[in-house]
Amino acid sequence: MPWTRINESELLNRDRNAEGRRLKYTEAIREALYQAMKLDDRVFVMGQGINDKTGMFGATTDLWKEFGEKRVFETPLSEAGLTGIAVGAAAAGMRPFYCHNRPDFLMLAMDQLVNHASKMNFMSNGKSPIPMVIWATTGMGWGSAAQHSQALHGLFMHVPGLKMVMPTNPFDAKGLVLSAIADNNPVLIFEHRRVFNQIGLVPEEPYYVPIGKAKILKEGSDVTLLAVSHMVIEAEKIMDELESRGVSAELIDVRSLKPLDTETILNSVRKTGRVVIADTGWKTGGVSAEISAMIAENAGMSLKSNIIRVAATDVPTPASYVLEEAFYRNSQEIKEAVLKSVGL
Amino acid sequence: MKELTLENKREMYFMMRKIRMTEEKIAAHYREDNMHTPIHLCIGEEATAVGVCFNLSRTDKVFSNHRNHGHYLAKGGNLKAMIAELHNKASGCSGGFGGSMHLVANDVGFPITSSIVAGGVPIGTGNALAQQMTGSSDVTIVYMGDAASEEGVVYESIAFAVLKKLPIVYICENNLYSVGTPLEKREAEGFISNKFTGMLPVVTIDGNDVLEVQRVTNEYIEKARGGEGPAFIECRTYRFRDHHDTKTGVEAGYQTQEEWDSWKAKDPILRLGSELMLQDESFATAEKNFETEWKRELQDAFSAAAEDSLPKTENIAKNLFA
Repeated sequence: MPWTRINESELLNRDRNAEGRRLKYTEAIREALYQAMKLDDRVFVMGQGINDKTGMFGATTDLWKEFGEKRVFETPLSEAGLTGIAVGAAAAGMRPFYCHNRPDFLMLAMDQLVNHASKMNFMSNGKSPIPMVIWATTGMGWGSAAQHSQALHGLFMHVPGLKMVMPTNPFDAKGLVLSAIADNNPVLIFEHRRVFNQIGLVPEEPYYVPIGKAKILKEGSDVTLLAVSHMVIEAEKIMDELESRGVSAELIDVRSLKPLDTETILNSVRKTGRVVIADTGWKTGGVSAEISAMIAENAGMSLKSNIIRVAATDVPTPASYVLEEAFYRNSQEIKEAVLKSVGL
Repeated sequence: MKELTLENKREMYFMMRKIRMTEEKIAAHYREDNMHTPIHLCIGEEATAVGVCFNLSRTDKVFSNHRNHGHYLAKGGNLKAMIAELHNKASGCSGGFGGSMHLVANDVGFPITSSIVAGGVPIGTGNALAQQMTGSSDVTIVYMGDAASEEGVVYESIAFAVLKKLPIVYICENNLYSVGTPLEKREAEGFISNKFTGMLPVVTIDGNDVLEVQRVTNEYIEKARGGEGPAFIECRTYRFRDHHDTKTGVEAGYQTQEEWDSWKAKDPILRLGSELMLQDESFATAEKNFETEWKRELQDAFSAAAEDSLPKTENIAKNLFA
């Protein structure tokens, strides 16, 4: 698929009143799927619930009407089997896009993701590329509890051979879906339920946001604030207040976890000398741990203060809303971490 | 269905012998420590590899498992590339990245093999889905052992193949043991086929009779090719060697000599060989010529593998991503 010449930074610099076509987040994903299927006969979409009226929060609604139920099909709840079937179809040259309402159910498919999808090309000496996409939406709130709202990206961070992205705005959502489908490797897209309500500028033509690139949302000189998934939205809320308190924070949407954009991250850390990492996942052995280690290994001498991690409490997600509040991190906690990092 | 000619039977016989001779040579050299990879010999089970693959075209696909030497050769996989892979060489079919459990020969319809028991079952099913979606007339064969059929993912795969009427035939090579654990300690009697009965056509056959394997699987392969959907064929057979070693299961302590002898009497190669000896007067000469020729090819493959280069360590991450 051709790379378009959209000037990404130009679009991102526009504020919410900017001119241009605006789409809701899941409409942007739906448009990406529609265009990917139009552009490439090998692309197909599968998942339980995708052909419901509300298909995947709107991301797949009515796609089957355009492409037929052979290319956009409902699946039985056999996550292990159907992931393997997607792997096999991909190995045979197709480009499956497998949707899940909740990443929690991917745990049933770990064998196919970790033992198979990630390794087939490697162990066949490059003879078996697996161009497939797994798309899953992390839930949050309303008592979803321990098995319906897990942020499990940290588990996959550990596995070589997988790619993984977590978009946070409609523009990236569309561009990363198109890039993931065009990629010749297994790509995991972890969405977050709380980013779905955004409306933003989304160009109509197909475009591709590169996998492996972080995005600097706001430049700053005092502290590097690395945010993952929904934590980007939480971080954005406090930028003005930090500014007014004289703290110049550089906000980076990590966006691509595998491969991680170490260059953008390290350049920022070398400039600011301070780091706060905000992640939706657990702290222990997770994404924030990996990023911290990577920074300590490569730019430890540039650090003026300890790295601070703002991550989910290391317990399963509780149901009661008071407990949920204690479990999840929020913008206030990110702000306190940033202030602490600069000694305020 | 067409009657098999003597030529057809000879072809199957010699293919079984090729597999047996190849594995016996691997076993004979294994202790020399030049093949640093676990080997899972299929000595005694050659009829299921050969009887099924005889019915396939080059572009039909076969998905195998850890015990894949026989399937690979029967589908037309290159001998030298296989022996080199067992010797961990860059010239191996997986470039030294896969080892004996991940043989691959895309050019003859033998895609990458999984050694996670039953791992290849859904993957083969996905291949059949791709065949159906692209309007191909090819079929998919998935080989699994008796223990693989105990994995839940087999049920999931078969259920989906039935739903979509996929062009696939599942071949269960029931050799009665999961490593060293006998079938009766793992499953209720008759379970291997019973657990799928009602989902799709299920047939249990003598897996040590290559002619029966060929005849029955051909029927279901052609049905699958014709759009009638999948089938499950249980082939009753026996492994003459240990799970992943060169000794026998008797020597390993889990098979009895009596049981081993009773299966040895049903050795698929001896059975077809004695039949051909009676039916085909030029068979003895042909067999001698075959033996000389295949011994030479084996020697060539082993010598080449010894000479070939090892993989370059700087390429370790070369194929992490495509």
